[in-house]
Amino acid sequence: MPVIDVIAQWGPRPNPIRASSVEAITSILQRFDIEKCILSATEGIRHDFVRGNERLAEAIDGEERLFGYATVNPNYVEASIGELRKYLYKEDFLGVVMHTSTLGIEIDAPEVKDCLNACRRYDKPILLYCYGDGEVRKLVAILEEFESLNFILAHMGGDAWENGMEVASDHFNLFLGPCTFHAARDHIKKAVEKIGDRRLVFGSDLTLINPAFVAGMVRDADLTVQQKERIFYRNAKELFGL
Amino acid sequence: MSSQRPIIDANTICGFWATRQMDISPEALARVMQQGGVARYLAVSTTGIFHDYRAGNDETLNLAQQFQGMVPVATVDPRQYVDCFSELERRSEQGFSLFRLFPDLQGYPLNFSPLQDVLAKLNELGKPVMIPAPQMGDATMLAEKVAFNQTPVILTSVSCDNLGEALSVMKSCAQIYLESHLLNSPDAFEVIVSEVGPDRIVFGSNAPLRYFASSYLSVTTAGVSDNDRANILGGNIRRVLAAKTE
Repeated sequence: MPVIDVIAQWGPRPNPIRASSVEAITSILQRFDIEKCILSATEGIRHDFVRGNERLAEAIDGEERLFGYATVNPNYVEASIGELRKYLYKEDFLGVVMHTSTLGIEIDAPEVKDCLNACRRYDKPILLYCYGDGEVRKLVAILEEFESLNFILAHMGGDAWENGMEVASDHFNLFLGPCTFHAARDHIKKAVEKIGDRRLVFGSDLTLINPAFVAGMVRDADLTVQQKERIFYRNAKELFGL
Repeated sequence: MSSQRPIIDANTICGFWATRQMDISPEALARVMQQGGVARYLAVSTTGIFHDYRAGNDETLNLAQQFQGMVPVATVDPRQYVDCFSELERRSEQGFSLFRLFPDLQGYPLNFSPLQDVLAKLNELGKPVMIPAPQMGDATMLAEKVAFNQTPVILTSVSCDNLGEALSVMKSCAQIYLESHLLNSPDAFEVIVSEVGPDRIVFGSNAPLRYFASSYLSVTTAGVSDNDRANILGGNIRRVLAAKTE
């Protein structure tokens, strides 16, 4: 079954992980039959987003399987809008990523809204990393205010994964990435029961997490082959227009 | 790609789960193990974790007599200081080959004198122990506590977040092993094998609480030799238990 991995990162990490180069990532993708993989730059997430985007663009240039997210940092609204302009017209940049939890900024902060406002003109999905009950609940207002944008909630909201499902059940512009190691054995089945099978998109969190670890969750979930194919592949293909 | 030798799952539980609705009955566990092709699985009853370790250990023993392939694992709660030592002796005499401790679920810290005494007692009895080390600092603290122990100490719930720390303590403490259910970074097994060798990783799934295939596929797709893979999937824990799972 082919796979599209929509939650992955490229670059060094503070963990004993050696598989962080483009070559290593490509070899992992081949091993797991991952046809396409959308990456954000670790440098952009934790440190300098402008430099991270620039290096990611160089790294994925000419790589058939690899695509990018432009990282924005709402603490730098003008520069973030500039990054959107710089990358979102490029064919290999398929979306925007925002790590509000890592940046210590609330998901409904005015600066986040300014960045999202600027995203409206590009019609590309926005990958959000926001964790915890409070932040996931605040997402409701964002999803309603920016109804024309599609969002993906990485890790289903982390330890607030049950709230992530709850919020997604009422908001059709929210997709969930089921990779979370907080979740219990039945979390994918429950998510399908709650939101249907069309808004779950496979994301491994490569290179932090082994795609096999997340693929095992989908493989073991009590779903039909067609539903699994949607999660592994078809939903992302449709969402990103691939 | 999987091993031809029998798979042993070193980390399973069964019983009742109070904090969310889940079927973790012994029947559900047996089903998952059968589907996964597991020959033997080391199980502990949740009664022993959340309610009463004596009753829980009795329950585990009874279940192991009913379910083919289940190997009983004993537990005690160090908060019940003094009495827990007679339970350790009794279960050791009964032939329990592994003991598990649950500071994360029972709410005591690793820096806890009764825990130190329980670990020392298990060492005196010659019994291996499995204990979680999910947070940064946990593995270091446990390594200090068991520095002079001879019997294996298996750390569980080590993940990509604290694998570096676990590797560091494994280099200084030969008796420290890793259970695999959260060894979830893309090359975790390759890194561990290259740094400390293949003999101190034991396969565990934490089923039926967690997805069996997550941990299983992580091992079967790892870039290690077939022999190392077979040892991770069963040979290493068999050695730790001194063939008592036979």
